[in-house]
Amino acid sequence: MNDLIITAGTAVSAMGRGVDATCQTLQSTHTTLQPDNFQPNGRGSIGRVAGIEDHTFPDTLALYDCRNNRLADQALTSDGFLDAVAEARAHYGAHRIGIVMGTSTSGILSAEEAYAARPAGELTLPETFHYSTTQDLASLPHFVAARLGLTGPSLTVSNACASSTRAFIDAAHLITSGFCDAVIVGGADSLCRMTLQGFASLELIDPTVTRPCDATRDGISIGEAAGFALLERAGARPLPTTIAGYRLRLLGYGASSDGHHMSAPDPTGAGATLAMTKALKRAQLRPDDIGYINMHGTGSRANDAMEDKAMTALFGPHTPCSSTKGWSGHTLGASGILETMVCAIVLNQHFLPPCMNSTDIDPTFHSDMLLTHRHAAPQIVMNNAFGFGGTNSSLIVGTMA
Amino acid sequence: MIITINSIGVWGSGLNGWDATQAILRGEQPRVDDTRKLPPPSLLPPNERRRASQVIRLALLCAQEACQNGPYEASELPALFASSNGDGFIINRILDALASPMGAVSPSMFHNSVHNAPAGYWMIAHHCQQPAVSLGFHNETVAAALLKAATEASSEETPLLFCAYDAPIPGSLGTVRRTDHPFGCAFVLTPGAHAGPQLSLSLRTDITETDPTTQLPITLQDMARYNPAGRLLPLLHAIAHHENHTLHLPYGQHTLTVELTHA
Repeated sequence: MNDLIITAGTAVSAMGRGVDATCQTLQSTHTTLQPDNFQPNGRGSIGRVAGIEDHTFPDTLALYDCRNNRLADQALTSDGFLDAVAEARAHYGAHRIGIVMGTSTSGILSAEEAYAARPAGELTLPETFHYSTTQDLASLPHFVAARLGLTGPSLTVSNACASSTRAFIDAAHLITSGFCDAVIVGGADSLCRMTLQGFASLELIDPTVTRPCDATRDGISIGEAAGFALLERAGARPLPTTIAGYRLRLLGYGASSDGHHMSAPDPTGAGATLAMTKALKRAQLRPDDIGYINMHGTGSRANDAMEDKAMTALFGPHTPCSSTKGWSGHTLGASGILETMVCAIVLNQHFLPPCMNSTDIDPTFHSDMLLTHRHAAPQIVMNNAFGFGGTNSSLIVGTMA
Repeated sequence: MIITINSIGVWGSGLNGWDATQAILRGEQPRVDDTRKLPPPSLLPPNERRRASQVIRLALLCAQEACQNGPYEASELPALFASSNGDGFIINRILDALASPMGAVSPSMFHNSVHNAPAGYWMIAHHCQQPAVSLGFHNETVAAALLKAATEASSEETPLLFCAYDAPIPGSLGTVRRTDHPFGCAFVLTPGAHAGPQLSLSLRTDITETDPTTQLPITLQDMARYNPAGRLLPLLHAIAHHENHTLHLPYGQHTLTVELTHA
């Protein structure tokens, strides 16, 4: 692989804002999910980010103001990320830094509010609703470009829950083909009634709280998150001595499709195994080289069983793994960028987080799933994401040393 | 960066396949609006066939035609699906349901609402395990998607299925997002210069935008202007005429310049 590194990165979720707060949560056994107070008659739990409603949004970008971009702005203004990008911009030029964002629902909450505000029997939406700068998929990369002062090629990847994982692959293509020197990779997905009620209609919401890998798990808890990483070539410029958020080496990536079903994973795990195998091949690594896997681990009956099967097929029973969605909730298209930061914390802080909320691993599972914190110092870890439509992506990241 | 078009699929209102579309592009036939529903794709299993919406059908018909006329098995090809609006029919229905007091979101409508639904259906149809990416970038979707397809094909050294599609959005959302007529276009693309139409892609900042739609037959001009996927029609026009052509697609503060030659 073409020596790609993340030179700065950050994220915000119910676990906290930025690396330090998230690390503290991951080291704790405190729950950060709460009963669904986002909608009337909400059921189950949600991973809600504090302070979004009060977040001061840049005046000059007011047209982009929506929950999704507020969440993105919280992340952009965390961990010194703005300054890190400004330094990269000064070196490469604004037009040489691209933006690849992953999101599943963009700012659709704004459309939900606009529909609810229609006078009875009328189609007309309130004038305060700006489709192209809120709901449209291009809203997030346009906002990020404006906020960071970047003019390189941009695009939005919308591969359901694998969106921001897959975004790393698309960013890598832009860099290796020479159209960009660096890319802001990331994404955001924010709470909205469409996903809360949509997943409920599929009976995929745990009525209590999500318990990934647990014998009694009964679905997901939806969360919200935004995160960003500055991806560039190793050795292309002298790096600042201060680390903004985290740094990582992107060692490999792999993507595949299930070709099985729209909303249920292939129970054999064949597609997931293929994505992980491709990532190992690209990284020129063996399964034994992976010290920890941050699972997709949604807490749904089908996903966790499939993922266990896929991991066991490739890694056997001894590779430690866990899902951190018991803290963050399932942040849908943003889970990949959020869990990239979790991987960085694992690599730098020498501990493996357990499956929060879970007490008994499903006895039919064979992987080494963690129920308690474990001291370990892996050098290389994997991050999985799978989504509706049977879309699978795996990333392998390692320490910079 | 150069890519070669191996084969083409085109569907849309009054556009029934690439052969018929070429005749319209050459001015031999007018395009006549066709409001009939698109047929369910025969390649899908019965359950998926039943659930496939009009937008999914549009994307799959294009992809299927391109693959039938191309040199590769559909199951071998990584895919890139691109759409600005996604499935506006379904999004509008869900938004209406969420706004009504007793409205419930239908489960199959919800899983069809994801932007990568056509990619998912395509992969199911062909039992394909190759990667698929689904993109959207408002009016510049085609520019972003063509560049992305070329960089993927060349970085991964693989042929690729490219499919861009868009359709009007009904209901309230349609009042704030004009889209004229369903239209979709698929290519099987191979990296590098080979026999067939070749596209050379570059990003430029020195181009003053011109309207490339004026050379099109009058019955296609609104589609080219007001359907984000219709931005490909000037390129298809030149291919149908076997002419060399340079197309400038606005792309943020850049222009994606696409130089078409034939070999």
